[in-house]
Order: sequence, then C-alpha cells, then structure tokens
Amino acid sequence: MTPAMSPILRAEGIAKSLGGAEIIRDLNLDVEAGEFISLVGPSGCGKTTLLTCLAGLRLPDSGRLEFEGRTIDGPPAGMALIFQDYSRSLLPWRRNIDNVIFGMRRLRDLDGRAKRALAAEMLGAVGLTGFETHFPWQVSGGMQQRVAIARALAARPHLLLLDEPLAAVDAQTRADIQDLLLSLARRYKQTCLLVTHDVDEAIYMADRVMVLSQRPTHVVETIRIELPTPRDQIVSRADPAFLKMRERVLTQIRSMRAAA
Amino acid sequence: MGSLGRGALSIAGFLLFWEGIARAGVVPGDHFPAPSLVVITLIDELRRGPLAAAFSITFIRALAGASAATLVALAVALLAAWLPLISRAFDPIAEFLRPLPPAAIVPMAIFFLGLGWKLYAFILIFACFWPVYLNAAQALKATSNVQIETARATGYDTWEIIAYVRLPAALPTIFIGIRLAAAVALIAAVAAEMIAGRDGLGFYLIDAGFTLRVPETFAGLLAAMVAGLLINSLVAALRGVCVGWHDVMMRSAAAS
Ligand SMILES: Nc1ncnc2c1ncn2[C@@H]1O[C@H](COP(=O)(O)OP(=O)(O)OP(=O)(O)O)[C@@H](O)[C@H]1O
Ligand SMILES: [Mg+2]
Repeated sequence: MTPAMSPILRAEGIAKSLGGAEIIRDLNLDVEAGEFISLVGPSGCGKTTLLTCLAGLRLPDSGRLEFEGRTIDGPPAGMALIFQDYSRSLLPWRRNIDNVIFGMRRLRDLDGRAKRALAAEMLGAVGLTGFETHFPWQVSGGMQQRVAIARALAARPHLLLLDEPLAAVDAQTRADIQDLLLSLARRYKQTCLLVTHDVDEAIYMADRVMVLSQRPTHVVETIRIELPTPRDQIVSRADPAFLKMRERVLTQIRSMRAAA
Repeated sequence: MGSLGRGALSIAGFLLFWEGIARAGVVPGDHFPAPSLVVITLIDELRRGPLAAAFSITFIRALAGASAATLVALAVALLAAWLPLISRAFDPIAEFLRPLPPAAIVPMAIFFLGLGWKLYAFILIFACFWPVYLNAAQALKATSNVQIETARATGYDTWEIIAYVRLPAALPTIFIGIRLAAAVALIAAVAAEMIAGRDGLGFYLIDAGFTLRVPETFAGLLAAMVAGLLINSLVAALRGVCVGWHDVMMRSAAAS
C-alpha cells in the first residue's frame, strides 16, 4: 500500500458542542499527504472550532478523528497550527529567532546550536533575514505573520493548519504571503489545510476546496481545483476555469444562505 | 540639561533652603540641625560604628526578608496557577490575613519567636508576601489564551507552559509586586526593630530620639533613606535584567 492511499487526516462524522450550542454536526473530511486544502465557510460557522479539534486542542463529542492512522486524543506530533490571531500568538519577550525556536519543542534530537541555525534558515525562507534579533513588536503586521509561519514550519510538521492567516493584513501583503505559502508548500512538500472566508483565496491556493455549511457545520461540497501550478496572481485568477469554480462556490454559499 | 542634572539641582536647592532655615534660627536649633551638621554626624557615627552596624543589620534584614518572601510568594502563585484548587483554598485565607498591619503582629510574634532572626523572618515574609503573591497570582491567571493554545499545539506540557509562557508573560506585573515588597520590607524591618528594641536602624532611631540626641536622629533618618534608595536600585537593576524588553516595548508603543 502506498502512503498516498491512506489519508494523512481523516474526520468521520464528528460533532462538537460548546457551551450548549451545537457547532459541528456529522462532519467528514479527508486530506491526502501533499495536498493543499482550503476550507471556506460563512463567518461564525465553526471553522476555528473545527481546527482546534483537528489540532487536538479540543476533543470532538462524537465521531472519529485520525491523524497519520492514529486517533487524535491530544495535540499530535507532526502537526502545527497558525492561529487567526497570529500577532498575539507570538511571545513578545522573545526575539523573532527565539519565537521560531519555540516552535521546535518536538525536535528533541537537535541541540541548541542546530535549532538556532534551522530557525535562521526558516526566517530566511519567509524573507526575514536581518530581522532575527528584532522583537515581534518591532516589525510590521505582515512580518509578524511571517514569523508565525516560520515558527509553524520550523518543527517540519507533516500537516500545517492555518486559521484565516491573512484576514488582518493589507491586500498587497496578502498576495505576497499567499505566494510565499504556496512556494513554501511546494518546496517542503507541505500538506496544508487553510481556513478562510475569502472564496478567491480559497480557490487560488488549493488543490481542493471544501465548502462548509452554516452552524452546525459540515462539509457540503468538495471541489477539485484544476488550475495549472505554480499559480500566478494575475494569470490564475483570470483563468476561465478559476471564474467557473468561483461561480460554483459562490452559488453553493448563496443557496445555503437562502436555505438558512 | 539632563534629568540627572535637574534632580541634583533641586536637591541642592532643598538642602540650601534647609541650611538657611536652620542657621536663621527660625526653629530652635537644638531640635532642627542644619544639614551640614547632620552629614558631619552621619560620617562621624558611621566611623565610630553604631550607625554602621545598625544600617547593615537593617539593610540585610530588609533585603533577605524581601527576597525570601518573593521566592515563597512566587512558589505559592505558581502552584496555584498549576492547580486552581490551591488558589481556591488559599485565597479566602489571604483575604482574611492581608489587611493585618505587620507592625501590629510584632508583640504577639515576640512571644513565640523571641527577639532574634526568627522574629524578623516572620514579620518580613508576612509583610512582603502579599504584594508579590497577589500580583503574581493575578498575572499568571491572565495569560493570553492564544499563547497557551499555541504552546499546547506545539507540544508543551502544563509545567513547561507555566515556565516558558505564563511566568515570562506575568513577570512585568510580578515586578510591580516586588517593588512594593521592597518598600514594605524596610518599613516592616524598622518598625519591628523599634518595637523589639534591641538593634538595627529602628532601635538606633528610637534610642537617639528618646535621649534627645537630635543630630544622631537625623543621621539615622538619612541612613534609612540611603537603605531605601539602595534597595530600590537593586530591584530596578534586577527588573531591567528580567523584563527590560517590556520597558522598551512600552516606550516604542508610546513613541509611535
Ligand atoms: N466556548 C464557546 N461557548 C459557546 N459558544 C462558542 C464558544 N466558542 C465559540 N462559540 C460559538 O461557536 C461558533 C463558531 O465559532 P468559531 O470561532 O469556531 O467560528 P469561525 O467560523 O471560526 O468564526 P470566524 O469566521 O469569526 O473566525 C460561533 O457562533 C461562536 O459564537
Ligand atoms: Mg475563526
């Protein structure tokens, strides 16, 4: 059996309630190794809740959740998570490079020196060479986002979970970081699961887009994105196929709204 | 002119004013010595020994007491952060004991502990514990959830999160408590010495005051002030080492 045949992440019929409110109901999804998945859904539908379940920070009330063939019963090794609120997730008393080293908790066989070298390499990969010894609060929001990305990638996770990482940055920075993420994903053959409510971003980034319903949320449709790679901000977005898929996703979301 | 220069100028002005009043005889000179006389007495007393001994005893008491109290308070606060049950059990007791003025328990403590180091250890730890504990417990509870969840997702366990995330995040607030404790330490030490009446600056001041040795009383006051300044600058130096990043961050936030 080749590894590609069993998904790296699988959710089967999971449900989750928070404080008496039903957030997730009967949600199924599969992620293959090496894939870039986008999850789009209306705001407040439970995207963050779903990611915290996938990351093992919360346990689902029912259903099965497996990562690399093992049931998720706590934060698993091999996964990294970038929060929506990335700038508050950085530790202000640590310099950028030490924030990246903070992400290497599970790299036990590396000594301090090797970690520092790897952290400098990761900061270089996100274009932050020269900002290693700055504190996070000394650099711009877009740069803080890059530090958070470098920290998440530093542990060389098999699966990277991203919770609306670009919601708070300006349009130009957003396009830059989208392309940065895509090139990093290709370079490290990184499996990614990106949560967003921006339909264009979801399509532009992904191999497959999964559309989430309103609360209680579940996957209503999965769309394979047949756009040539590597993607290009101008060419890909003008591709007739892009426009067609955009129409399909938006129609799906609109019909859900009408039904709600 | 720098702020240091301005500070020196205003202190010099104050001393000149004081000297002028004392020399003009506005207040009876026997009870209000000129600063020049106080300084001469201070140097003389320090050389003869009693004031030097009193000063160092009090200074060491205050410093050791504040340090021990800080360590104990941090240990309790960390345990409470780890097990909320501890905090629920301890906080009502804290509410009950905290309002007690440390000086008020000295007579009772003398029954049990005598006049030696045990008395001072008890009084000083009691006095300095609260500001550190209350600030630490509150700050350790207030850690940003995003930081904790990020650490958990990265594989850190409860104690590692306390050590690497919650404690460093709480340190700026903890130092507010430590600064208060350092000030309270000197007050408590001097008050206890006044009551116990055996040694230290507190006893020196009471002794000189009751026997109407006015210049000595003022010299003792000056020595107490020096002890306070010394403790303050020690805390400030430690604070700079531990949470210097925080001051720079606040300054740059204020500048932008
Ligand atoms: N601890 C909680 N108790 C009760 N309800 C909660 C709790 N946490 C979140 N919710 C509710 O659950 C729903 C889903 O929250 P969640 O943050 O997962 O949504 P989201 O899709 O990520 O939203 P956004 O688009 O704003 O990021 C929201 O309606 C929220 O109010
Ligand atoms: Mg969210």
